[in-house]
Amino acid sequence: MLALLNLNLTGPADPARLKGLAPDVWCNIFSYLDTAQSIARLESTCKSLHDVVRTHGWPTFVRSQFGTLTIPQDVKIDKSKELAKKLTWQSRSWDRRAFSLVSLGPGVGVPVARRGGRGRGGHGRGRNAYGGRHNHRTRSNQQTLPAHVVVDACSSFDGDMEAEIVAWGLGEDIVVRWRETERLRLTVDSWMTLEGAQSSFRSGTDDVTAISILRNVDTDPPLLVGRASGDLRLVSTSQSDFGRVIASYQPFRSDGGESRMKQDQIQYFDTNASSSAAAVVTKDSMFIYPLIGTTSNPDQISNASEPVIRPVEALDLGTLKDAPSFGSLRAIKFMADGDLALCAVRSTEPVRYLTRTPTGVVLTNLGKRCPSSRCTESFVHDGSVLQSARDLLPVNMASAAGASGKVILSSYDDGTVRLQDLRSHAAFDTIYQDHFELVTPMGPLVSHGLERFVAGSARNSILKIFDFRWNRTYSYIDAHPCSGKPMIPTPKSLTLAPLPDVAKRDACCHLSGYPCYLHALARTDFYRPNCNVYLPTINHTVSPVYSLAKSSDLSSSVYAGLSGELSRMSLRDPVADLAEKSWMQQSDCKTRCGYVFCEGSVSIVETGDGIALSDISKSKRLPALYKQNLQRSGTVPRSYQRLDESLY
Amino acid sequence: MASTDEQKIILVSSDGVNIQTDRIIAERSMLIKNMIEDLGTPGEEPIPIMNVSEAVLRKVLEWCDHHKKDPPPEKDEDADTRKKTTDIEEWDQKFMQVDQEMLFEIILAANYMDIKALLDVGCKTVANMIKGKSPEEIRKTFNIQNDFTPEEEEQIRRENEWAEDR
Repeated sequence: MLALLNLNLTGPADPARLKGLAPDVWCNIFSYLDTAQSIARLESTCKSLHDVVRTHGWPTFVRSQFGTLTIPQDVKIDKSKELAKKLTWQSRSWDRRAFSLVSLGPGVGVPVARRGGRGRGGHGRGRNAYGGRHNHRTRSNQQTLPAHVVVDACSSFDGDMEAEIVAWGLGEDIVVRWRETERLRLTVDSWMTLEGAQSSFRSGTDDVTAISILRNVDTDPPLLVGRASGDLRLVSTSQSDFGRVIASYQPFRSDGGESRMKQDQIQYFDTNASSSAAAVVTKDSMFIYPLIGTTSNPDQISNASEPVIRPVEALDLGTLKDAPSFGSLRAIKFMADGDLALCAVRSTEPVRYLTRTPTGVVLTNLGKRCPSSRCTESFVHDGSVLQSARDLLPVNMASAAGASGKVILSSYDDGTVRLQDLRSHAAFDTIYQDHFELVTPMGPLVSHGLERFVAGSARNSILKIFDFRWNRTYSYIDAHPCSGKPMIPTPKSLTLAPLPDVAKRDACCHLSGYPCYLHALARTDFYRPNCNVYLPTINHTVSPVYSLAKSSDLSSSVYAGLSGELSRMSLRDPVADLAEKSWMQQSDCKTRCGYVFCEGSVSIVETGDGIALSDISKSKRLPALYKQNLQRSGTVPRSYQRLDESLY
Repeated sequence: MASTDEQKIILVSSDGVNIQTDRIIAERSMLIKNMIEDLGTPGEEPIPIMNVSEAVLRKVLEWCDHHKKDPPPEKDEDADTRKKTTDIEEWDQKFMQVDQEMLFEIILAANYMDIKALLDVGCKTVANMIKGKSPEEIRKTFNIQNDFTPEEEEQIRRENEWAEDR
């Protein structure tokens, strides 16, 4: 404090001094300003600083505070402030668990009463409003269980404009929704459906099992759709020829010989960053296909009937030498360097890596077994245990110091999510575990930069939000006034983790870097616990999360494919949410392919720091539960709230 | 030839004063390090430091002396990706307790002489002086004249209202 006074009192500097600094010196200074508040206040001091902040301040702020997010490179300088506004809002909403939930399910115009005896009398809301899918459609090939939703989303941003495409498969049908917003106003909302029956796809055997919107395609990105029957095709989404089959992908039809390589029951596929290739897994085989459109072959396009594309690589993984056996393959992902990672259930080597070489594909089993110091406590592995990995997510660590392009997250049936750097000697750099539901299998994964990731429960409609527990840069609390009091509410630890021991200062000393009590606590893992979000379902059914999609790091929505319906968790924006709701009320559900739009309210439990425990009995399993009440939100005092006002 | 550690070199400040120092100290500055390598005859010829006055040069060399044992800066380090911390070590904090004129002189000298770590400390100090202050307090701290009209000021305030609690 004394030092600060000294600086204030000693020698009024030449006013030209501060303004006359070189732009790169300014950028250096800006990189240490960690709140939008500081940048904005500097902007409003005088005209010349206003210009410096405009051209260097906001771009530097975005780069240095949100460096782990993938942000479009072509953002113009004058849009940087808009971007800073969006990113700080998103970060704050994630931190404060300010979510809104929407369920989208195929309803019927007329409400249908629930059929059957299992009354759920206790749960009144919406009980009779929406019939299940099996209530209003009769099919010759009726499935006993409702089909599950597989979803993908992609979006583009241009300042105030945001365009999003969401495509999902439900049973044999596909629905695509285009949504555009301009300054929070919904300007476009159009839906189209591609009924499977019209292409003579049957329910069950031809259900959509994987779907992907091809990115990096300028207009009307086509859809790659895989089905349980092994059918894989690229379908147009342009309004003029929606549903036209652009190409289909099949392995060589054997004229007798190679009947072994059958492409049946597509489990999963992934496309590479340039959308020029797709890697597909069935239960036991992998195929790599060149994708038409980007690597277009004019002969094939001019052909009147749709071309059939053959794989450039086909591999029956079960027959490979030295490969431990597995139950079935679950997922495949392209790594940043073009290699492939795949995972399987019931195997001693659940995650494997494939390197493509000119002579073919080389399979590497990951032999590294020793855990890093961060998880020695929790990871005991003898190499003979069968494990099941359900999903993979390559993590872009390019922005983290010293990391390679070979970092991957994987989710397991034992309730853990493991982060692994293939270049480091440790097998698992960090193992994450929900401290409430410790052993519930983890399903699909999506991430938000290196800040956090979301794992879907493979048992219930729950999204589990984890902090990577990496060194975070931006924290919205830093812009709040200093205080000697902690944030409220105090998190409730599920383990016996003690309250963080930090010095109780009333105010930050910026010069020495000693933070006040509030700002110091706000950065501790204890005060930033993970949480589980319970997704309400229209049908009140218990459903695992089958698939997750998040269109980009700038998008504030996560889509979850459940049993018979699609759920969307967004960052809560009261104005935009209200606008969408009233639009939905005005419009006929026929324009939405018969889908009902149903708002839900958030229930969350806080689940600790998320680092795996050595012994599950360390958890008391009595978490703090918060239920959203949107009516009450206006009446909460604006003190230092750790959680969104709707959760109080 | 004496070992690099004990070699002496002479620097000449912008106001013409010769300052003798150890080569290892002066080579914290990439500018001087490169000049010595280019000249190839360390110690013989005085090295002119055009833009830096004696007082500032002595101050900068004081910092270099204290930090002469620090590991050399990593070459590939990208300015945006290195871990940012606004903590300043205690010695550097005391070192930076100078009047603003000197603070900016040090920053300019560090920039000119290419001493990354010193430039970082200087910039952190300026950033820390900005943090948590209102626009009026920032103006007062740095002796900045408010040249906005009240209307302009109000417009900027409204435009930036969102940033107040983030």
